[in-house]
Amino acid sequence: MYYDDNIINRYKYNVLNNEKEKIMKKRMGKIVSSLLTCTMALGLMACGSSDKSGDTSASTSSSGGKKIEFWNFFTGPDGNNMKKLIDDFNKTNPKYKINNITMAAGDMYQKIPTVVNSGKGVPDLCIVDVARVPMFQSQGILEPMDEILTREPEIKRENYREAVWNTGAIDGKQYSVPLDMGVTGLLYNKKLVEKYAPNVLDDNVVTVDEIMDIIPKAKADDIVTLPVSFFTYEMALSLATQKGGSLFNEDGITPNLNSAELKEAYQTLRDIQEAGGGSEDGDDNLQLFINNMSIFCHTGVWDYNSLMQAEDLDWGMTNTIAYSPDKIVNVSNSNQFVLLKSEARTEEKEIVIADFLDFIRENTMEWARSGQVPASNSADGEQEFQHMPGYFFVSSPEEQNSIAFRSFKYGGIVDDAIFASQNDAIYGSMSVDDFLNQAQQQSEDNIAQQGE
Amino acid sequence: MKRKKKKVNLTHLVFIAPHMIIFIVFIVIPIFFGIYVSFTKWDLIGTPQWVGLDNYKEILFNTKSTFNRQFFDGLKNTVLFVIFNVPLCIVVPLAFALVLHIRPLGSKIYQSVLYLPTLFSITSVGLIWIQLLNRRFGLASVMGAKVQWAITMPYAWIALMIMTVWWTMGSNMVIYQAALGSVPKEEYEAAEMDGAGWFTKLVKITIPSIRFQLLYTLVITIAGSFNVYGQPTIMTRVDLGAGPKINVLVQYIRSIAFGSGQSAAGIASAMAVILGLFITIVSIIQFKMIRSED
Repeated sequence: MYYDDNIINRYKYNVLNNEKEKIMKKRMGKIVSSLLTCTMALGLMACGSSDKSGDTSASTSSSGGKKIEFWNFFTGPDGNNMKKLIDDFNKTNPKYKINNITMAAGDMYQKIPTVVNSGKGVPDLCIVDVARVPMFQSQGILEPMDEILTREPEIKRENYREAVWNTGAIDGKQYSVPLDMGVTGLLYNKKLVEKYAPNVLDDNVVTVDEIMDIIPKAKADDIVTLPVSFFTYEMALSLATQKGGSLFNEDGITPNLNSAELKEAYQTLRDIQEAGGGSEDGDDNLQLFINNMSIFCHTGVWDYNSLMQAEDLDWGMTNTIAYSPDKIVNVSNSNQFVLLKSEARTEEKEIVIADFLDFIRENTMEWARSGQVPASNSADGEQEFQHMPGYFFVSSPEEQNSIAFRSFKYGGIVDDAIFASQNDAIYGSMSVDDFLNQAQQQSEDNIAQQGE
Repeated sequence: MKRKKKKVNLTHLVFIAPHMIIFIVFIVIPIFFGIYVSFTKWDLIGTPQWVGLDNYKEILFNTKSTFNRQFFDGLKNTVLFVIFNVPLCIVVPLAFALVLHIRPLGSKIYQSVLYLPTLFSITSVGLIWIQLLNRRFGLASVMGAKVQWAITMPYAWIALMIMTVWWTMGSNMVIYQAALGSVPKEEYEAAEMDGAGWFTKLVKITIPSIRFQLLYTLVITIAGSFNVYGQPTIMTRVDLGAGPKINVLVQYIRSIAFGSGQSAAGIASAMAVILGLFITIVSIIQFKMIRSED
C-alpha cells in the first residue's frame, strides 16, 4: 500500500510539477513576447520621424542650442567652402547657429513637397536652383524676402549682379537672394589652340565658322574639337538666344521648343558632330579635356577646382561659341537662398537669417574659391578673384550683360523634355525636327497636367 | 453544464505585430493612397483634384499623348528585361551552385567571391560597369571595343544582362546550394548503379528534387525584374544630360512624379497601378503553378 501510495504521490508530484512548469513557461513566454514587442516598438519609434532631415548632414552647430536649419545640395568640393562660411558665421555667436544640412539635390527636391505638406521639418533656409524659384513661387510655397531685406538694407540689387538679382523678383516681390552665378562657357586648351587655331581667341569668342575650320585639322590628329556634353543644352540655348529665340513664348508659359531659332541651334551642333568635331556617345567631355584630347569643352565655372588638379593641362575659359562675335550669350545657372513657408520660423530666426545672408554677401570671396561667380559684387576688388576664370564673365559690363538665366514657371518640365532625347538628335539617331517636336509635345502634355 | 470559456491565445499576434505595423504603414497605406492619387491631378503640393479615369484613358488610349508613348515604351523595355533576365538569373546561379556542390578545391572562396557583388549597392555597381565599359579609358578599351557598349544598341542589352546577372546571382545561388545539399546522395548512387550519366541525373533527380526552390526563385526574380530601375538608369546613361538608352517603366514613373519640373503625380500613380496589376496577375499565375506542383 505504501509502495502504491508512494508511486501515486510521486505521480501526483510530477504532474503538479509539470503543470507548474507549463504555467511558468506560458508566463515567461508572455513576458518575453511583451518585452520583444516593446523593444521593437521602441526601435520603430527611434527610427521614425525626427526633426533632423537629410540623408547626409554636416552639422556645424554645437550640440544642442538654438539652430537654423539650412538645407543645401553642396555635396561636392564646394561643400567645404560653404561649411567654412557657416563655421565663420557661427563663430560670431549669433542667437541661432546655422545648422548645415547637405543632401543630394534630387533627394532635397523630393523632401520639399513632403515637409511643406506636413508642415513639419520645414527648413528655415534653403538653397534651390534659380529654375525652381518661379515654380515654387507659383505653387505658393515660398515666402517673400521682405523681412530679410528690411532687416539688412545692404542686401539690395545694387550690391549684386543685376541680372541674377532680377531672377528672384516675381510680381513685384523678391522671393530669393542669389548666392552665385554658375556661368557656362568654353574651356580652351592653350597648347592645342596654339597648334590648331592660333588666333581664334583674339576677340574672346570662338565662332561656329571658326569651329568648322578647326575640325579637319584636329580630326586628322584624332583630337576632338568640341565634345558633346551635359551642357550642350546651354550651348544650344545660347545659340538660339543669339538669334532672338526663347524656350517660351512671351507669356512665359507656352513652350516654344520647335522654334526656328532652336532648330537652327541644334542643327548647328549636329553639323559640328557630323563634321567630326564632336565626341563619341558615352565620352566624358571633361575627361577628354583634362587628358588633352579635346581643344575646347563647354562646361560651367564650378569645374574650376577639378581642372586645377589636372596635371599637365594649361587651360583658360572664354565665352560660349557664337554665330558672330557681335552677339555673345552665356547661359548661367544660379544657386538661390529661399524661405519655404513655415510657421516654425520665428521673427528671431529671420533676424539671424538676414544677418547670415549679409555675412555671405560680404565674405563672398570664400564662395568664389569654390569656382562659382559670386552673385554679390563684394569680391570684385579682390586680386585672388580677379585671377580666377569666373572673373572673366563679370570683368566688363558687356560680359555681365551677356549672362542669361533659365527662370520660367515650367522651365523644369521643358528641361526634362529636352534632356530625354537631346543626345539622340546630336548623334544622329533622331532628326532635330523630330526631337524638338517630341520635346514640345512632352512639355505641352506635362503642362496640361498642371491645369494650364 | 456551464460551458468553459475558451481562452484565446494572442501570443502569436504579439510576435507578428511589429511586422504587421510596418507592413500596414509602409506598404498597405501607400498602396491605397497611390491608387487614390491615380484618379486625381496632383503636383504633390496642393490638393489633389479628382479626375476619375482621365489619367488611365490618357495613358492607355490617347495615342498622341506623351504619357501613352512613355508607358508603352517603358512596358516594352521592362517586359524585354524580364524575358532576357529571368532565365539567366535562374540558369547561371544554378550552374554555379551545381559546380560548387561538387566541392572543388577552394569552393568556399569561390562561393564568397560569387556572392560578394550582391552586397554592393546598385549605384556603385552601375558606376563600376560604366567605367569598365568606357571605350576610351576603361577595360573595354584594352579589349579593343569598337563601340560604347553601355549606350549602343543592341550591346547595351547585353551589357545590362551581364551586369545584372553578376550583381544578383549570389542570392539565388545560395538558395540552390542549400537545396542541393538536401538531395539524398542515395538517389544519385542508385542512378549511377543503373548507368545514369550526369545529364540524366541532373534532369531526373536534381531538378525535380529542388523544384520548389526553383519555382520560388522564379517568382521572386520575375517580380524583381518587373520592378527594375537602377541598372538601366545608371548604366545606360553615361551622360547626365541624356536620358537612359533603355527606359524602363519604373524610370518613366519616377521621372514623371519627381522630374525637374512640376510633378504629374496622378499620371505617375496611374502607371504604377497598371504595372502593379500586371505584376499581380503574373504572380497569381505563378502561385497557381506552385500549388499545382504540390
